[in-house]
Amino acid sequence: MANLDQLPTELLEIIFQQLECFDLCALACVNRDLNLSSLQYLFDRNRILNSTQSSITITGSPTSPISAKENTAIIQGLLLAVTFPFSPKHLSCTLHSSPSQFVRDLERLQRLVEKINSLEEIELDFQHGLKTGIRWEHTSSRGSTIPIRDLLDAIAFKCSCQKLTLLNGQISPGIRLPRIDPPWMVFGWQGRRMNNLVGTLVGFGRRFWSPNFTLSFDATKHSNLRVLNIHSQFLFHFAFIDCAFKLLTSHSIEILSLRDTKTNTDAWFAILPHIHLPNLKELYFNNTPMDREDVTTFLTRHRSLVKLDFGYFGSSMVTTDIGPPWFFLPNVTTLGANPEFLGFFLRGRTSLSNLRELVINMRIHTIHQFYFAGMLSKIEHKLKLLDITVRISLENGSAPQWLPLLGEENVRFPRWSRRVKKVIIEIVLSRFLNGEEETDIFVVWLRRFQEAEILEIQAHDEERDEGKMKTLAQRLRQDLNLNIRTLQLNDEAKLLEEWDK
Amino acid sequence: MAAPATQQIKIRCNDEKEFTVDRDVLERSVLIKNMLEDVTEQQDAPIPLPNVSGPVMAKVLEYCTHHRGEPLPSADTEQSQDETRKRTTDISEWDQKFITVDQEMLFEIILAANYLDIKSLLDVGCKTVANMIKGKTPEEIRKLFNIVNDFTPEEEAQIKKENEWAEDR
Repeated sequence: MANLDQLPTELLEIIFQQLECFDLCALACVNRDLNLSSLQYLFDRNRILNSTQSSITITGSPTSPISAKENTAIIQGLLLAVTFPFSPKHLSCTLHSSPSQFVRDLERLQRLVEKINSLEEIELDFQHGLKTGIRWEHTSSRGSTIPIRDLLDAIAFKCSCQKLTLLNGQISPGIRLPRIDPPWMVFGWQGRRMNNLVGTLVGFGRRFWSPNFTLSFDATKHSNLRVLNIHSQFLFHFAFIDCAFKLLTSHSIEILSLRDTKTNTDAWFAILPHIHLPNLKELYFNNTPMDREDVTTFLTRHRSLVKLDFGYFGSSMVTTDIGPPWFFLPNVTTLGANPEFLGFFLRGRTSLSNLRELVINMRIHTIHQFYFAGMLSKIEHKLKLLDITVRISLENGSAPQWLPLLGEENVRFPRWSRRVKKVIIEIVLSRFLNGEEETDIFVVWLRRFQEAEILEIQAHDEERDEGKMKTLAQRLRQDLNLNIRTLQLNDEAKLLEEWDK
Repeated sequence: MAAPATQQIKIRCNDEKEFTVDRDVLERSVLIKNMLEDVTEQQDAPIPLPNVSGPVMAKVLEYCTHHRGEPLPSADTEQSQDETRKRTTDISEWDQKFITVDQEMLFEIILAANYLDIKSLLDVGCKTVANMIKGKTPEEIRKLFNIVNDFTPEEEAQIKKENEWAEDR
């Protein structure tokens, strides 16, 4: 007698065409044959696997994005598969579940990561940010508290995983951020927001950390860890130092990102001399206290460095009247710091024979003449040979404080500023562009970078303000006759479309 | 001049049951249509259809007779056919009544439609099965189609755990 489970695959597929994802999941639970055929169809239909079966992508295409329900069903489908005939290395998933499903989807993902042993890289995209209603300590409908950070930790600490990327993790329906690399300083030091983090997380969410919180953290499991992204106020709590030590001498780590504001200084000074990462290629230090000796000895130990960025930090170093340090960094091609630190660095007896790119990091209060022109004018002859990126943070303070600083008379830009290739401006919308006058000043100010090829405005805010973004996009298009090829307003794609028109 | 009298074709099913049918009715089946086009001379011997039984063929012929004269879906646009199939999830009233048969007959019709290459009938059959599955739990599907659960206890436990969501959805 003919029956459903005896139909040939091509006929089953005609039936499957009519079914929703969750019906296919139900079929997968019926018996082994249907498990195989219905899930295979589900994965094929949503293009879950790439052609070499090395990568799982649960995001849909830009033209036919996967709905939240489908998303959930596909993750579930992957878990329901009794045989898993492929061994993918990469998993990328868009998590845009409803608040009620979010934690469950995250739990499923954690189990999925446990199930697929071959995974090396995981990318989670919180496409619309973490919606209102999702909290770090999420209380489920059953009343039990599920700590989201534990789930993320469990995913991050999967033993064979080399890289975890979390995108767009801001709480509340915020402005979407595209992948930003390097990861540091995307949201600055506002620890209460989950930042746009790239790299396996250590100390993630540790602001809740207390001595009672047991770290299930085994350095020996991380022999493949390539990216270490430390971002936590409590990382240097003494109880943590021991396990941090193990990691900070790892041979596998190639990218180290340290950003912190309220580090326990004593602990930091205790740990810094012990950091030795023989294969370190990229270093992002921001806001991390260190004195001249520390920098010198640290860099002396890490000659493998290719990229070096000190963020906005570094002012205290210049005040010491001891002469500039001596560095020998033959491999460094990109160097970033605030203007005074850069001036200090480049005037020193520093061998940076391969330096090609300079990143000038400025906060609004350092934009005035002294820092921007003065400190760097002494090394102007060196600047001519380099690609220059300027990164300006307008995140601190309020508009009335810094708007006058943008005025013509206060900022005398040096000649070489016309050679700036890329400009990145970080703004907080709620403190910004309140009224036409402010917008005028800003737009006029931007004209200084008329030779720049890329203008990137990283606007972030907890309040979504499409109106302001739209106004800004329109003004930049209409009023500025700049040679700007790319404008990246980190918001909706439609704003970019508007720009393209 | 009037059209020539409709040609009558004989077919023989696997249970020796024979039918004599108008050619245009039979040509709903792309398989038979192609066979007839390959044969130039008039033949008296019935066409053997070893994969179809008499009762099923009678049902299939009922469908073909009702739909005789309708344009056949063109075979060259596979893509658009898929789309059409996806969009039109509903079944016409006559087809619905026609396909209200017991399960064994339903699957026999699907298999026969597939063998005889009658796309529209195959669609009706498959859509009917899909409608039976929609919204059901795994246990309900097993009961409905009388399928044996052949998972190992470990697999069963895993599946039960992962399927929780579906149950309180």
